[in-house]
Amino acid sequence: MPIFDQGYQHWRGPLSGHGRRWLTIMLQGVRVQLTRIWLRRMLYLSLIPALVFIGFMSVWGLVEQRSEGALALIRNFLPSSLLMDPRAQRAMIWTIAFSYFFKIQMYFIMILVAVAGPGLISSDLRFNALPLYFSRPLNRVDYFVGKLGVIGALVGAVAVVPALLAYVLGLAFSLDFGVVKDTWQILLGSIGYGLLITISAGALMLAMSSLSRRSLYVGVSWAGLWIITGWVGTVLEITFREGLTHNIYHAEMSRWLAANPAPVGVQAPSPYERPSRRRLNFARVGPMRPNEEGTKWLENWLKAAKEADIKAREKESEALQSDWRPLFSYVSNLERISDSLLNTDAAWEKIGKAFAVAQGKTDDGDEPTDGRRFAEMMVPQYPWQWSGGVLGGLLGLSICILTLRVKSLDRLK
Amino acid sequence: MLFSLNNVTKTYGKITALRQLTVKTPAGAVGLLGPNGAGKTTLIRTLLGLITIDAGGGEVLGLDVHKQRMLIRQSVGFAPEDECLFPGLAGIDFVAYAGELCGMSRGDGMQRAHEVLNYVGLGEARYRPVESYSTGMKQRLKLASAIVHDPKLLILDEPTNGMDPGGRQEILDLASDLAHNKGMSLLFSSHLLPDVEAVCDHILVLARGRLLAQGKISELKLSHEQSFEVRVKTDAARFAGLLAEKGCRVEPREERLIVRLPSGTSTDLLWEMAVSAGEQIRFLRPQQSTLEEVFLKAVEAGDEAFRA
Amino acid sequence: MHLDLASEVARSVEVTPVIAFEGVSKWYGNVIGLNKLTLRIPPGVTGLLGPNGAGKSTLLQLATGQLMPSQGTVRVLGQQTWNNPSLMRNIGLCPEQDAFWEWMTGLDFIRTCARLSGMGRRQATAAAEKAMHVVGMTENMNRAVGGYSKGMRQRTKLAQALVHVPPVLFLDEPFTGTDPVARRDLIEVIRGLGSAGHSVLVSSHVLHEVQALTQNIVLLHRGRLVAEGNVRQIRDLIDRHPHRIVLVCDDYRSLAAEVVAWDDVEGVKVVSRNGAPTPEALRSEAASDRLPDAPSASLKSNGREGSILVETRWPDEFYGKLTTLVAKGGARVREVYSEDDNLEAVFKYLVSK
Repeated sequence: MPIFDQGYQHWRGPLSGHGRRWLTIMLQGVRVQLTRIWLRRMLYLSLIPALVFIGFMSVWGLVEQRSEGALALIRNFLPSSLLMDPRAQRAMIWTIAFSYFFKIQMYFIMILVAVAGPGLISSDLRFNALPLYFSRPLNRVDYFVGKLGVIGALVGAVAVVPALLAYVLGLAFSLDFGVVKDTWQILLGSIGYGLLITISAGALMLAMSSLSRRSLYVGVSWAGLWIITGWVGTVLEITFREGLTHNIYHAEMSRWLAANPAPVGVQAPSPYERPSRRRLNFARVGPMRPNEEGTKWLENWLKAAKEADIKAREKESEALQSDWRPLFSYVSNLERISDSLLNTDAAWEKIGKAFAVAQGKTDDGDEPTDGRRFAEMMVPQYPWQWSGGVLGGLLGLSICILTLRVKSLDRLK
Repeated sequence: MLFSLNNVTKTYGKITALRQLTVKTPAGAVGLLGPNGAGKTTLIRTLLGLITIDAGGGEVLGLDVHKQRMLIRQSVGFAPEDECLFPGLAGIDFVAYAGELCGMSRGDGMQRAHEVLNYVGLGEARYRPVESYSTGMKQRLKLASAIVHDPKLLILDEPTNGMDPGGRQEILDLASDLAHNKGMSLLFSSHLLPDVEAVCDHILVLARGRLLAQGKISELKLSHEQSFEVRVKTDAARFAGLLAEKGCRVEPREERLIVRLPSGTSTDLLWEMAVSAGEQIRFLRPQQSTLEEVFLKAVEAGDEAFRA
Repeated sequence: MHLDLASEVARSVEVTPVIAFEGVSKWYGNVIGLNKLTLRIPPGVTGLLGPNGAGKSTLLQLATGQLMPSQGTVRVLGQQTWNNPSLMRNIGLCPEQDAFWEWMTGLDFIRTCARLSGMGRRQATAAAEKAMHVVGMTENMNRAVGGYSKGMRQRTKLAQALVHVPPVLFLDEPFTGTDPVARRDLIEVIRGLGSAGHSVLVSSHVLHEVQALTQNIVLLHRGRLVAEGNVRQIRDLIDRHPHRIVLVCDDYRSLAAEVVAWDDVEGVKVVSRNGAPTPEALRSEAASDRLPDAPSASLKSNGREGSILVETRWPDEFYGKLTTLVAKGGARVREVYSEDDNLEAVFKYLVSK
């Protein structure tokens, strides 16, 4: 027929089964979020650490190949003991690099989740999109997984993809497939960590997003969760540790001072006081120069103080094994799991030792080589299962909130 | 057979929304009527496969209501009553997304969305964000997103809410065109009975979770043999008096008269009386109950049965 | 029910209730809501119609004192509406939007509104109960408004407008969400108020509801007044569109031939109905061999009912001649009706772009 009907046409094309529905929701969510200019800017900013990281991995690969330029660059940062045999140090360096990268990108991830996350469910609630979703062939699980995927895409873009890229480039630059044997744990750990962040932070953000119709409140609450719990955890931990070491030092010194009172001519120090150069010098050259006995006493005091310090640190190490205070900080929990996935504790210990050796501290010198102390500074020591428990609990809570707030059309008014 | 339900019961806590409902509906344009709280919304949700019914079974377009709920939603389009939007999208993206959520691929969805938006009459506005649309445009958008996947059954819940008379007529024309000319079955739920009459051929009347009446509109609106509705130019009361003298039973209704002619006479009597009274007959039709009367009678009968 | 209210009003009102707009314009920045509107609304029920954006909500807001006119004066019951709180006692408004204090029961809400309009405590309670009874909410008035269905909320809004028995009422889309049962009752209430002397202005998009309430309308378009008065009179005045009158009878073609000869008839159209030949049948008959001047049976209309559509600009003359013709036996006309002698047609003709 030469004239074609312009009215309604029927359509009998293919309809995909509902297994792929979550992907549609995820892609649409990503598309919508990418139109927001501040999100795009944040993504560009997050590229900077990624580039630095990838750069470092490439340089290390060159170091392994004994390239002069690379060695010259690295020598400024790392002790040469490590650079003797880079291949042996590979696992440790990679672990630390990856761990540091994730720590930095965690900031960007938290910010991006705060920017992109709130709108995911709260604007659907505000504009009443749920009847439109659930009157179509998809169920609540598809909806949640799709929305979670949006956050997963962000985490992937900011952290996991650069990490994988860095891994591949590090592998390529080192021209040695033995890398994989040493570092496969890092690869799996990175992917696992990315998944963990997506599921934990994603579910939590979705749950918060479903509690309010105004995405601004959700964003502010998320920032509060991240920043305030971080502060609380840090403050609690510091006060605990300092308090503990101070108390032990005090106890030890009190005991020693009680047993060894200061001789005449020497001003008795308080049990809190730490021996300082100034104090000792003053004692040696001061107006009332102490006699032999006094000088001896001062040296004993110095020794006792050092022993007390060591004891305090030992007790601190012991206590840190069961220090639950960092559990308050949400981000610390995530990082604790990453530390156990990537096994960063061992890595920090090794590098701490290497630095200590490089600084000339030997075993029989004043300070022992203490990689352990370094590790304790960088990595929380309590068992990772506790963090796992906290995160698991939060996940359970998020799921409960989501199932209550996002009702399928059965009970929607 | 469009859908058939068999002894379906659904309770929400203490409230029984559907009470052993049994209904068989043919394909075509069907109106769903009932007072508030009659169970219309629950019936629609059952047909969409959205709720688990407590008892009974049924099928929609040949698909089982218990076991094939996702498949049902692939062949059914639903335009809900309240305002619903996917936030942050332009009109065309909105309809394409609605199609993709039913399983269409992205390209198919976009192409079909344009087609469907042409059909409902949303022109250049489709490139603007949906939050800026007027009520009429939002209703059209809703209709478009309900038909984008070419469903076999379209369910409309108060589609003309808030629209001005011009827009209302357009939506009704679209619904009627889809139902009568394009072979799409239609379930039209509304409180505005003239709208239902204009579009549907068949109605279901629900109250208190039960089916009170169903049938073709033309059959339910009974015609009375010797009863006519008449309007004259000037003095209806005087005309009524004159007719009464001739043995007719006359009842005034607003500005018209309901005249029951005595047996053996025909409308000729009315014309003769008009001339002799110096009147003009300006309206003459056999009396037919309106859909409103059918509905109210059914509901009252249902109320009495319930109280008994 | 409404008779009590009506008698109360008849006692309390001395001045004829009137809503009067004199040269009123209202603009918001550079958008004009009403453009030099001059209008007087008599007692009884009047319908306020117009497409979206015509200025209906502006008109209602000006008349209830929520807005000040940019030009001109708005008077209700002889007083200016702007900045006149004491006048509000005599005005009732049922707005389109839904905004309640959700935690209150329906009765509490109405009682609060009654007290806000100046009634004493006991009087307010009695008036609130009566108002809820009038709108049919007696069963549900002790439940919190938060649990009401849409229809119940609408009825509560109406009760709030009626509780202080004002002589002037403004109703904006009063029947949205109500089912036909409730609508029938509420229409009776409003008609009762109109016939008791209240001045009721009902703004609605649903033309058949307005038609059930009243024959007097005010039609706005783009901020201007397009028509005012009785629907049928307005129809008669619309010159551009001739009246379309359908006549159903046997032997409709002879009737058509007869009628087309009249001066006042401008057009006659044959509308096929039951039994009329389909185009296919006609073509097949023409194709078969037949003598050219023997009329084919299908073309005769004897014994078959059909209808013709007559267009005329002088309905009065036409109806007169028709009545005489039929009474004299010139044709057996079974039905007479006009397609466009109603509010929908008037609206369409006056407002179409």
